[in-house]
Amino acid sequence: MISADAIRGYVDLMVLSLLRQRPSYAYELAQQIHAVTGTEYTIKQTTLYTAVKRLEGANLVTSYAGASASGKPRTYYQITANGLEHLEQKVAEWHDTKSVVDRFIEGVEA
Amino acid sequence: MNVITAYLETMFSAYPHNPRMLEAKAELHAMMEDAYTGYLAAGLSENEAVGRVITEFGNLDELAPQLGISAEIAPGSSSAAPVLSATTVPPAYAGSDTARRPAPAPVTRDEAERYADVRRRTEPRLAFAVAMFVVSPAALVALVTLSSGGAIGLGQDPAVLIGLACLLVVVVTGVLMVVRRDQELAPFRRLAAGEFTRAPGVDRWADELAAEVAPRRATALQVAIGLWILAASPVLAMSLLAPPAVTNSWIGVAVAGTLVMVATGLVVFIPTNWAQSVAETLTKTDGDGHASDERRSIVGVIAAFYWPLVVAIFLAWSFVGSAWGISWVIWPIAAVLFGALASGLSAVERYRAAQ
Repeated sequence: MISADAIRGYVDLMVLSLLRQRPSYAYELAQQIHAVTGTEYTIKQTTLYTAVKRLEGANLVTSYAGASASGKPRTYYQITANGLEHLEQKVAEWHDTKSVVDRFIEGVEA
Repeated sequence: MNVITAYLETMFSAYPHNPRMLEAKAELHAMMEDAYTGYLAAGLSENEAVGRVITEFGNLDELAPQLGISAEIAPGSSSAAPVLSATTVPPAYAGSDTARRPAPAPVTRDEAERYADVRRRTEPRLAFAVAMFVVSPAALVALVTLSSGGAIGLGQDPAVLIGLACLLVVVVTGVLMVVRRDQELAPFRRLAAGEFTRAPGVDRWADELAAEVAPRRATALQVAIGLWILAASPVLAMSLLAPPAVTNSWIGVAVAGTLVMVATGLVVFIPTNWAQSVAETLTKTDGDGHASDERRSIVGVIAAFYWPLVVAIFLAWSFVGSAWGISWVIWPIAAVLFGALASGLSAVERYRAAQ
C-alpha cells in the first residue's frame, strides 16, 4: 500500500499520461488509474479532481462539456501541447528521481 | 445516493459558495454517483457501495487552493498544491493563494490523526507523572511519623533524609516523563495553541473518535471518583479505630495509603481522557471559524492540577495544624467537588452545543 504522500508528486504524471492517449472525464480517469495501480494505491476523488483542476489552471489540459453514452453531462479533459511537453519533463524527472533514490537503497535490502 | 448527497453538502458547507465551488461540487457529485453505480454493478450492497464511495472521497482541504478559496488556506500550508516544479509554473498559478487575509493553515486529517495517535500513546505517561507527583511525599510522611513514634529503629534525621531522597527521585522521574511527552507533542504545538483553521472533515472525525471512547472514559471517571472518595478511609480508620499510641506512629503510613489511592484514580482516569481532549482541541473555535483555546479539556486539566493541589493542602493542614484527626475530610469534600465540577462542565458543554 503506497501512502498518498509518497505518490502525490506523480499524480499529475499519471493523469497526463492517461490523457495523452485520449480525452477523458474524471471518473474514467479514476477507473483507469485504479486498473493500473490495483490495490497498491487508491486515488481519492478530491486528489484526482484537484490534480485535474491544477493542470487546467496551468494550461496543461483544457476542458470541454461532453455527454456520456447515456446522455449524462460530463466535463472532458484534453491534454495541450504544453501538457505533452510537461509530461516529457515529468517523465525525465521521474527517471532521475528513481535513479537517485535507487542509489540510496542499494544494499539496504539484504 | 441520498447519503452521498448529504455527505457532500456537509463537506462543502464550510466553504464559500462561489461558482467554482459549485462546479466542483457538481463534478465531484457526478464522480461519486458514477463510482456508486459502478460498485452496485460490481455486486456490492447499497451500504457497502456508499461506504466505499465516502472512503474514497478524500479531503476538500487539498482542493481549496485550486478553487480560489484561499482565504481558508495560509501560505505554506501542508495541503497547498506542491506538485509542479516552479520552472514550469506560470506566476499566477504558483502564487495564487498568498497576499490575502492571513489565516492560520487548516488542520488536515493526516495531521489530526497523527496528533490523536501521539496523545493516545503519551496520555498514560502524563497520568503516571501526575500520579508520581501525588505519591512523592508518601515515603517522607510515612518514615518521619514511624521514626518519631518509635515504631522503626530509624532516627528522625535519617528518616527525613531517606524520605526526601525518595521524594526527589519520584518528582524528577515525573518531570522527565512530562518533558518527554512534551517533546513528542512539540510538532503539534500549533494545534494545542489553537493556531489553525478548522476543517469539517476533521471536526466530524474527532467527534466520532471522542464518542467512540466516551463510554470507557465515563466508566474510568466513575471508578476514579470512587477511589478519590474512598481515599479518606485509611486515614479515617487509623485515627478513629486505632489507639492513640499506634495512631501517632502509623498515621503517616495511612496518609501514604491515601496518596496511593488518589494516584491510582488519576492513573485510571487520565489515560482515557485523550480522545475527548483531542476532539476539544480540534473543534473549539471562535466566531471566525478559527480555533480558540477556551474551555480546552477542562476536566482533564483540572484532574492534573487539582489533585496535587489537594495533596499539598492536605499535607500542609495536617502537619502545620497537626490536624490528622480532622484533615481527612478534605478527601471526600475534594472528590465530591471534583465530581460536581466534571458533571457541571459537561452539562454546560451540552447546553452550549444545543444552542
